[in-house]
Amino acid sequence: MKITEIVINERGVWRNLHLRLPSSEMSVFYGPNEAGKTTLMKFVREMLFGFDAHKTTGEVAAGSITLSTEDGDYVIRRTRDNETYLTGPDGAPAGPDKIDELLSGVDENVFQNIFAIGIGELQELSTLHEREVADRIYGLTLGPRSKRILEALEFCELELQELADDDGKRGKLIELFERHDRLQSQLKQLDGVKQEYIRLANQRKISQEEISEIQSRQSGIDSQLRGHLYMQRAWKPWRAVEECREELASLPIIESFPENGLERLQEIELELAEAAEQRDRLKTEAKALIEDSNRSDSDRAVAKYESILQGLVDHRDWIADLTVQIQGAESHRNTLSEDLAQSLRKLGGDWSTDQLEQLDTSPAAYRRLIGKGRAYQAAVARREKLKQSCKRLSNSQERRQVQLAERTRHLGVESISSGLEVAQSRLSDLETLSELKLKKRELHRRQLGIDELREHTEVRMSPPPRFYLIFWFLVGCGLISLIAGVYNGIYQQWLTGGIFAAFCLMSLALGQLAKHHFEHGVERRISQLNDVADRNREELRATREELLRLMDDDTSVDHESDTVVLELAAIRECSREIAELESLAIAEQKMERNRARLKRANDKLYQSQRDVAGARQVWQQTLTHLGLPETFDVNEAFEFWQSLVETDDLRRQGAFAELALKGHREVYDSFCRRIAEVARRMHQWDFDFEQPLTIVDHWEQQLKQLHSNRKERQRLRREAKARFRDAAEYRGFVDECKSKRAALLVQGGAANSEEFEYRANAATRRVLLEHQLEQARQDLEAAGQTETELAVTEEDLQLFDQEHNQECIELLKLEQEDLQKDLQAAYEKLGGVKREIEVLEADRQSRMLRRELEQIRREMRAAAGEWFSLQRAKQAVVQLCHEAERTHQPVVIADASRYLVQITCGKYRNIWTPLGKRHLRIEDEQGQSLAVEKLSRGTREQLFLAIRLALIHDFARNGVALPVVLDDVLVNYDEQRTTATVQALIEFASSGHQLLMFTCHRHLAEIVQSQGQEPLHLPGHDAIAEAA
Amino acid sequence: MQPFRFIHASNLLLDHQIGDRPADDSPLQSLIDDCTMVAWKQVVATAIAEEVDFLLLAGNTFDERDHSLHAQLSLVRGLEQLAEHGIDVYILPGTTDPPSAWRDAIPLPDNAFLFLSPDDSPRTVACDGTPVALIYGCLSDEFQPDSSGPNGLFSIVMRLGGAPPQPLDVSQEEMAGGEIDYWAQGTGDTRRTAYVHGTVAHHPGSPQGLCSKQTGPHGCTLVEVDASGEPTLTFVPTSPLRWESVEVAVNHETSREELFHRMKSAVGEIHGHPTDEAYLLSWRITGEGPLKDLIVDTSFREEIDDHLHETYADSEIRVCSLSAIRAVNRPYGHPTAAPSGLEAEYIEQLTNPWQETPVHAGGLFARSSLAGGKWDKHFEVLAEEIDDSAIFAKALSLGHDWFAEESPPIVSP
Repeated sequence: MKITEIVINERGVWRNLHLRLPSSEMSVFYGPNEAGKTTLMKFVREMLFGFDAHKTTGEVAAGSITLSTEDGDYVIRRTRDNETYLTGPDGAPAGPDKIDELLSGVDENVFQNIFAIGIGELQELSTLHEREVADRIYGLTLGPRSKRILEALEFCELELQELADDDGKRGKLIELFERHDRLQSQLKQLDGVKQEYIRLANQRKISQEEISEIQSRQSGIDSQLRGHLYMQRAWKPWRAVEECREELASLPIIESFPENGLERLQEIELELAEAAEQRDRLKTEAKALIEDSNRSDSDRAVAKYESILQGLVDHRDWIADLTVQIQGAESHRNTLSEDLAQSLRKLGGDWSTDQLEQLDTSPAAYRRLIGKGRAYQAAVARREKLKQSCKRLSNSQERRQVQLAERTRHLGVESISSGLEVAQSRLSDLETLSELKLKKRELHRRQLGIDELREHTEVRMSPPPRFYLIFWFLVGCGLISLIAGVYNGIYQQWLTGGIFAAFCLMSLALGQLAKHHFEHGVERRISQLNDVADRNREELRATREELLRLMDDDTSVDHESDTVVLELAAIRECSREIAELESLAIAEQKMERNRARLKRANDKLYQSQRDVAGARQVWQQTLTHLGLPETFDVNEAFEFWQSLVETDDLRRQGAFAELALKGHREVYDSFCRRIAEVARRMHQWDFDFEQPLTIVDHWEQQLKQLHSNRKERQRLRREAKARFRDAAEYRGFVDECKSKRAALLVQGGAANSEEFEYRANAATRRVLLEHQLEQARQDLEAAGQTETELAVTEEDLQLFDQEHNQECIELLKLEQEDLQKDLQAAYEKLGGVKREIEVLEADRQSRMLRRELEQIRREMRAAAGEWFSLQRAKQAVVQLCHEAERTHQPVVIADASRYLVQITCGKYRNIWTPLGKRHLRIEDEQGQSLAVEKLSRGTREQLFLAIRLALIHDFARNGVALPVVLDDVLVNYDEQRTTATVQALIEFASSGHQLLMFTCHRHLAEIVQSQGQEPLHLPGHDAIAEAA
Repeated sequence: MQPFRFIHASNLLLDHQIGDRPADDSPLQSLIDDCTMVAWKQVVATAIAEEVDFLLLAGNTFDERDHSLHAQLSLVRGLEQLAEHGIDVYILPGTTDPPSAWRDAIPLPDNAFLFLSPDDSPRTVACDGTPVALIYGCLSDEFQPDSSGPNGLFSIVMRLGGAPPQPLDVSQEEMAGGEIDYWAQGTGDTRRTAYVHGTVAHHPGSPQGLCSKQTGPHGCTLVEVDASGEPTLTFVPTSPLRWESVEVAVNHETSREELFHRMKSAVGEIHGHPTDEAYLLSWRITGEGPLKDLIVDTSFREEIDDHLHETYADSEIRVCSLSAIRAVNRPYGHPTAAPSGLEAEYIEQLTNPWQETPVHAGGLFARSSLAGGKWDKHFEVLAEEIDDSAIFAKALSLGHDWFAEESPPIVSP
């Protein structure tokens, strides 16, 4: 399919463009910027696919395009309403389905991205990712073989990722590694256990040695101690026997003595002594109590003024509260004073409390102020509103006047009414002129018709040659019939001759009638026509005269351009002028109405200004009456009033606070004076009378002391009396004990207590010594039997030093205790070490860790085996992939590689797509594979152009042959590649693809020209308009 | 020469973790945890019972990376027990217990002699006051015998050996030199011996297997040297725990009861040792049939264990099924039908990779995006541990799943 003709009625900058494309396959259009190249390309696309895209932008387009196909030429015409008309080769309209058929089902996106592209589409890789296009480029519809390979590769990668991701941060193997390292680290830490064990084993050994040594020493000391103890045991009874014997020899012999005499005497003595002691003690205590009670008398002055002091003490809390209240009142008063001063400062320098006192801040005054203020505000607001209204009306009036004057001036009339009259007159003249011209043309045509009719009529005046031939034939026939009739009537039958004669007569009559008709009827008709022509000519002359008159009046009508079009244009112009003047007249009426409204508004404004002046005066009077400063700002006055009221309120509160403070102080001062008076009476001058509460506290303490002392004295006196009573009882008991003692002395044969005691002790001692002697003899025998291994002589016992022996025993015992303690400590230490060793030996952590470690190692080996197998399998699959990429590239990519080689002059040799991927790789002349993103912009555009050419080729292979439109796609190419690309495009076009290339670059047009392709210069829009 | 005898043990790896374990609730857990130490006790008991003159521990007594206190305690207690019976112990550090690990270890009793430096002089062993043997501890690759020349003593060199399947780390020349009578090797778990011109190189294996791959009995070696200086080696089992791989054949007619019977018979065929306390079994099912698929079911394995427990209820040996695998009739890489189409191309890429494409695990990692990251060390260790052929087989299997003509669509995870 080829485009042979493009007709643009209107589209962008184009109007009435008629392009007939050359018959060659490649057409290069050259035009400067904004020449409409892109518009032309878009127009082609719109002609093929419709204007839908432009309805939203408000652009309009209309035109047609002629397509040459094998079946003939088709014309697609689209109106600005996007109505589509397709005309077939036979001129008959075709259905809209035929367009799709012509486009072979290619949709607009594919056409825009592949067939009709500009630099924008060329630079975008995404334009190649449309489904259909991507399928062709990337071969996404993979065969089962490639699909299997890709699935296997994906399986490998996913499995490998499951085992260990590329960063080595996740995956089963990585987790195992981490667990392994963690356990290994824990296991390594257990190495300290071994060192600890060695240390403990050494300690255990040392402890055991220590214990052995201690035990050895203990044995020696035990032996020594046993010897000393034996001597000690034996010496004591031996010594006791000796001493008992000596003492028995020295004691007197007493026959009888009262039983328990000494105890009884001692009991009596003891009771006597105790009773005497109790008696004396009670007397002393009673005296002391009396002295104490006398000493505890307190201050007499306090006792004297006890009631007064108690009264003051009772008022102590009240006075303390009063002090706090005074402080609070002072603080409150100060705060209020500060607030008042601050408020006064805010009010202004000349405001004082005296002024505030004189100020009327009653609600009535406030209502008055509010009322007057609101009235004044309302008056001002009403005035402002009217002012705005007047201003708006004035502005509107002024604007309308200016517009009216401007439009009137633009129309060139002095006034609207006169202009309207002139225009209406002119329109009437133009209509008359037009009618006259029409009439003139009608008359002229009628004259021509009459002339023509007359000519025809004159031509018909001379009968045609056939007429005379027929006439004379009829005359001949009549004569022959006459001769035949005469002959028949004479010689044969009369009837037959009569018939022949009648036929003769009829022929002669017909000929005569025809001759008369042609010769006399035409003359009459010509005469009539001449009359009509004369009348018509006269009327035409009159019309022309009227026309000339009117034309002389209307200078705007060109005498030379006597065309209906111009007349109609003039009528339209005049009608438009009339319409405009009529609208101006309406506007003028509106302006008049507006002016009246403005006048009424101005009157109202004047009235409102007077109202405002009155309200202002009343407002000022109110302010003056209330004692407020003059101001026109009502809100400010209100705020000031509010401040004044608040300040006055503060003043009042301050006054009340002052009064309260004064009352509190008077009470307080009275209390202080009373305290001073009491102190003066008590002659107590050392007090600080500025602190009355302290004095009261002091007196309170004194009062408490007074009460306490009083109670104590009473108690002491009661106790002293009780003591005196007890002392009297003990005195009687002492006398009784003395009587008992005298009786007992007599019984014991003693004169006094000392003698009685001597005699009693001697008797008792003798019995005791005899018993001890017996016991010592038994002990001595027992001691000799305990240590059979040891022997002791009398001499040893005599030389025995008990103290020395005791010291030795004690020393040995101490040493034994020390050794025992050491032994105990050593045993404890050894036990601790053994326990620690047992704990270490029982520790199974190492084993558990190693068991877990072994398990992890086993899992690691299994996972690693899988990982290595997958790696190896992946290598093989990747090789299969590369093989598939080398041998199973889509045909479009192969074609594109060929074009790219040609366009880049061999710099880039191959394009390929990784299997299953939607991106392109390009190999340069060194065989290095590059991604599209790594290419320069120019090379990338060359790559995309090559792909598009290949795609178009591929479409053509599948029966889709659409024209290709390239809009300045070579702008980013260098000179060498531009030339190479132009050659490639020429070859591409020569293979049967229609190629329309637009450019604004002269050098490109020259290159194309140098390649034998004559570029077409796009016509200027002005020229087209002129032609139209 | 006065006859004498000694125990040669190595690879005790005391308290080392056991690789393949049954479920956590298994009653064998305690035995599994202590099996290496039980084996060591068995070595000690053997030394005492056999009244040996000394004991050789030829490397890898423990693994220092385990940081195990119990390992060293167990060792020390065993040594103390031996000391009570006057048995000296000669210890050579190994790869898992380098000299530095011994320096930081718990102090050993006086009957333990360590070769911690290449400069350590050989130790002379006396029997009833008469020197009978000279023991060298060789920590370097090259062994230099004592320059004083032959002294009539039985020469023993303790040296680490290569791990299987490498041969013993003693060259033919060294063995043929005749200066050394007994090369005591120590690395690896497999027992092996070499004789050259009357010289013996021996590695007793490990006293206890540590994973399911180390099947069969493990123990130490009792070496008896007669008056002519001829050593006689006797295997002494010490392991309480044995891994065994048991193969059972099934067919389409095999019933469940019959399968159980075959399994019991297969277990019964295991040659037991007095030290055996438990068998951990890995079943390998060959043939075809419905039971072959059933065997991989965990509950079925539990059923097997129940049957075996009933059978061995009276025995002191406990039995546990660790795993069961179906023997693959068509191993990867050997398809029954030649692959075609995409699968063939895949195999072509897999078997004939491009020049720079790595095929071994280390290379695969080096080419990956993770290389140069923080996990390099882990991947390198794993690459060393994992067999390249297994990687290849798995990759081949994946390719078959993806590209075989009859394979279903690939479902990504």
